Amino acid sequence: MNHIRRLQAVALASIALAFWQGGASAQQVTLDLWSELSAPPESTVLNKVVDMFNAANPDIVVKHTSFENTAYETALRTAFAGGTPPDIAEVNAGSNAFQYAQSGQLTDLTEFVKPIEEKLRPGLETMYQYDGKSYGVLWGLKLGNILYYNPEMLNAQGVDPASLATWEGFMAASKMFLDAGVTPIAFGDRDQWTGNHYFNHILHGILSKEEYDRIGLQTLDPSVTSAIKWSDPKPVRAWELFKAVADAGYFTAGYLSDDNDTAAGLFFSGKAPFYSTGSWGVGMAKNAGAENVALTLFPPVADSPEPTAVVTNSLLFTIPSPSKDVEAAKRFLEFLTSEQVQKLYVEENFDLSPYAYDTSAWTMDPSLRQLAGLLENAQNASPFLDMIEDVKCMQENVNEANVAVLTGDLSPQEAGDIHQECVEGLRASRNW
Amino acid sequence: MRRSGRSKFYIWLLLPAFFFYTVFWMLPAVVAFLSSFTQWNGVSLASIRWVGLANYAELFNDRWFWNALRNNLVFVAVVVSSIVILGMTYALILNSKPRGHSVFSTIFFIPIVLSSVVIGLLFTQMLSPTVGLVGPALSAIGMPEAANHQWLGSRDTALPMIMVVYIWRELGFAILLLIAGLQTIPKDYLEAARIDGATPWDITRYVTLPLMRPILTVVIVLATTNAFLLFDLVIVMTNGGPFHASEVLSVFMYSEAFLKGNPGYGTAIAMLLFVIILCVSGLQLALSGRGQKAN
Repeated sequence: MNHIRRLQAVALASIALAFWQGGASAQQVTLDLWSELSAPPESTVLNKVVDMFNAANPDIVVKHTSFENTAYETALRTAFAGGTPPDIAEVNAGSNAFQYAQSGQLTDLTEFVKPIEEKLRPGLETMYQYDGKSYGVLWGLKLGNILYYNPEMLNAQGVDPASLATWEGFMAASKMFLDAGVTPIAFGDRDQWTGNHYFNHILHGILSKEEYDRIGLQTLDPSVTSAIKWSDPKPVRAWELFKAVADAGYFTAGYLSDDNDTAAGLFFSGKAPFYSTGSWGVGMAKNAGAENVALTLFPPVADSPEPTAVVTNSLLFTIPSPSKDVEAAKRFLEFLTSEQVQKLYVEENFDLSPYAYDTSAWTMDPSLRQLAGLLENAQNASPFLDMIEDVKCMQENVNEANVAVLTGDLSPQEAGDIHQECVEGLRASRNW
Repeated sequence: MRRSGRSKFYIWLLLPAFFFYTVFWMLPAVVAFLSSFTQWNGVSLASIRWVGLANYAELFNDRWFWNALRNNLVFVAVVVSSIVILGMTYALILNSKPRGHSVFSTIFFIPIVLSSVVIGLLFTQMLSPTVGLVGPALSAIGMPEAANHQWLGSRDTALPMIMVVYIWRELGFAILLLIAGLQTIPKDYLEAARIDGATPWDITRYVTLPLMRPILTVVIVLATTNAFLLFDLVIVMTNGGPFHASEVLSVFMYSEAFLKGNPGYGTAIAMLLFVIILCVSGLQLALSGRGQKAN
């Protein structure tokens, strides 16, 4: 009998414990977080941040699922289309995010983001604002318009690195190398995006921020119009300058057939003195074991209206509309922008922060410190064009067209004309 | 009764395969067909818009579609004829078992086991004027002007280079099939022809080739279908460039559906590609059947 009572007591205790746990889990919300940060150091940093958040917020459990980069976009689109997106989703800032926002898939975070914007570097809001509303918070920042050079080769050729402050100085230095029998600029446009970035940076130097942002955003945001047309002299001048580099023979021999890795390899092995890529080139140089690498801002034309402005790229953390607990998700987003998290991101990820925290006490590599200096001294910041222009016009008229300009299939004016045609057609088809 | 029980058993055996075939092939194919009549941003089901035949009408007015189709037809014509002629020639030689034939067979079959991506990357590096071996080799044999040529970056040579690599990759499989076919020809026929005074050429022309017709049909249909579906080598070696010069239909479809965010238009291209392959394969089978009857 005693034995039976003991069993009954154990059973009752078990039921009570189950209810107590059930009650506790009813107060605790689990949020699914999806990202494409699947490789170290990015994945390690985000996982650390998630652990820190979960430890500090016992009522919320964030579960991070990372996907391989190319599979991520398909997985996310399928989840959105099927109505089962995660509670928090990382998306590429700009056109990708706008597409989701345009389809009503993202929560409007305008009011929530306002206090965060106070610490954001000016100009970056273009990456998450669509039709006057804000849809997420930025995480990490990369600079796009960077020119890398080999100081030893410049020294041997008698080229002063200070002359690279303008496009004209850069071209003069390139000529000196070519005259000495060295092809100066390592470049591989097989995958088209490298030519896109060259054109992007030349154009960015020619236009003001207002003009640059508007000429791109006019295809994404119905509320934006552009006074400058793609067929106008300023954009056409950017194409002309880009073509002139190839015509002068400054690009390495395989510039149409080599990929970016091959071009980077030529530069890192000391076969070419110049190479342009974003701030991620610093990490590439370290991985390649290249020592003779220095950097400066991609040279703007001498008459540039904003010569120290930077081109940037960032990831955006958003809250999909069917998120099960928007307020809990907002707490995680706010945590991402905190000084503690941004410091961890910068120090361990070898990247920059989109937020204007005082970084003087942060542990940063000299190259990263230099990049941070370029960002701090920048007159303003804009996203890459491919982040703020509709993908169709971008793909045909910058990615494909940049190759066509180099091969002579399109003249600079024709490249401008077809781009403008695409923009006008697209706006008309959407009744904007 | 017993017979009907056996039929039911067979149906049960077929059901799993039928289920997977329907769910993972037929259903997506039907959805793809339907989506070729829509415009969609690929994000929200609410944004799907029925546009009827608009995608197909746009396709026939798209100069890049005609460019990709022309490239595809040229590619198919060159690689299929090369694979069949070279494959048959090597198969005949190897089937006569000359000295070292096993070494040559191995060399021909190696590309079959290599991934297309690996092959593509290998040749891309070799053909690069900056880091490749082809340039210095051409210089060494007295062609310095060709050393800096961008084999994969030039409108004139990009597609031909992909053809060369493709033929190199596919030849081994064709040889394998053709040798298997040659070994099924009864030796009596060949001996009878020899006794009747036929030359080796006569034997090949009037005995071997007619008897090889069924296996040649298989080789031609397989080579044609695979050549029309060419994708991986182009993406790895040229990305369809420079400026569409090596773009074929599957790459054009990928670009429209995934890079330009237009899945409806992309599936319309896929449907046309399907119809083209169906027609060409059907034509080949019909011609081969007629030839066999005539024999």
